[in-house]
Amino acid sequence: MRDLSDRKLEEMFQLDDRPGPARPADDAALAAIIAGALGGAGFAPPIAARAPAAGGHGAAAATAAKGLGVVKLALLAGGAAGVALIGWVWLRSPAAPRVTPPPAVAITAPAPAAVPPSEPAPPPPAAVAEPDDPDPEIEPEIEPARPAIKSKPTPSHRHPARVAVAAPPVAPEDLLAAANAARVAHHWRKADALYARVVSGGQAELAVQAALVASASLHLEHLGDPAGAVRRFRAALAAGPRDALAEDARWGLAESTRATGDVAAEAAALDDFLAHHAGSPRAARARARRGELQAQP
Amino acid sequence: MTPALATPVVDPRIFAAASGDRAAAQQLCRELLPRVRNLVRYLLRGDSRVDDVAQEALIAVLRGLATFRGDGRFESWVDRIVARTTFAAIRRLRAETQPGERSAIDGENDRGAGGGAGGEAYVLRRELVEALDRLPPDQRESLVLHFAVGMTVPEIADAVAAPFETVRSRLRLGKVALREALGGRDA
Repeated sequence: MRDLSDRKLEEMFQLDDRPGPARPADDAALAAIIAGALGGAGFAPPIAARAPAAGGHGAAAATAAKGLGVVKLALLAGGAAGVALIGWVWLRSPAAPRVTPPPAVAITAPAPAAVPPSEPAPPPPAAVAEPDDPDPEIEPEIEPARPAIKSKPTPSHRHPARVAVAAPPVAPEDLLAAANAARVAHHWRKADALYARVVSGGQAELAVQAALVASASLHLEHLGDPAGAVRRFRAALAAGPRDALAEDARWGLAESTRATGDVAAEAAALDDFLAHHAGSPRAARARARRGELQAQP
Repeated sequence: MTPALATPVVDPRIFAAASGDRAAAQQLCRELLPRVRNLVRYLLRGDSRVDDVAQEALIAVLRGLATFRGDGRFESWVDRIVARTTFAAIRRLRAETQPGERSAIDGENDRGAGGGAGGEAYVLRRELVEALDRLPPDQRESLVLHFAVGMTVPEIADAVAAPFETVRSRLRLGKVALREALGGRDA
């Protein structure tokens, strides 16, 4: 008789290099899945793949990516419309992939902090890094730009004026990478300062929004500044209210307003989250929390 | 001073991919895809939607790379994103199903091709997943999150927004059903 102890079950379920339980797929099918995923995540196709007449791997990759762009990503429409939409991001901008906040944002919000009862109107993204920002450690990092590396300015459709004035010489993807490295090393303020530089650069909308969300989660989780997190999440939403990052920004806004102790703002944030993302895995928690708030005197 | 030893070692391809390096992202995808497909199949009934959902999960992983903090195993971080994406896909497919219609998540099991291609482990896992296909979704979800993803009961309770005792009960009932389905009797 077969031994089905917990240990045996663990072995059977193990996600290792052995095949199964998914059916084996041929190399072409796997390559097509990967090409579609790269396109969906905003990675620009290789230069050779853009040339329709090219042969060999380039043409195959182009075909795979294009076919998946139409067929596979179309399957994501509906509940995952945002994801499907960014499948075409590479057509307009070869920017760095979008960033979502950490998958496991703390469910239990930090203790309420003393903040003004009402939040100011959502500032434009650059406002987060402006000199009235209360974090003194961020300030010096925002203004100066390192001259050694030449930037690749990307036209911004939302902030054309700022592009003409500010031309940071470091590419936003480099700054994001450096910020993430600092984050991994738990250098929260250094990471935040780098995110702020991406925001103040402003030349790549995707990077700006990603930096805002990442910076907001730092302020909420590690810098003890829920009010700063609220401002950043609101700025991220203002930059792209229907963007794929919007769900994370709305959820983060609900959590950070909770952390500030502003019940009305938290209730409004939860309502907004549920109105936009009713099918989200976080919706059940949002409803439960909304119910708790309603039950409060 | 922060001791240098406190800094965990993270695969540099993760940073590269997070910075927009397509080649690095492609390499990571190649390595992750078998794992992603298998986890999706554990969670999803039937074979027919596995690759669509696996692709969707890979997109979510790639988009989230820049926020991987390196304070745990990369594969575990990926598994949780894949599970979350798959749950969202299941909910979406369920919502798209009209009353009386066969559920879009009740995909067909592919027969024939590839059967036995992976030896004994493959055969065992196919038996296992076909037994999972016959379980109630809640029990399946708890079993996979516990045994495949390695989540504890409190973590599962948090992830699926269910009470601790409910998850524990689902796990217990799921194990009993699985053992019956697979012909085992050892507890």
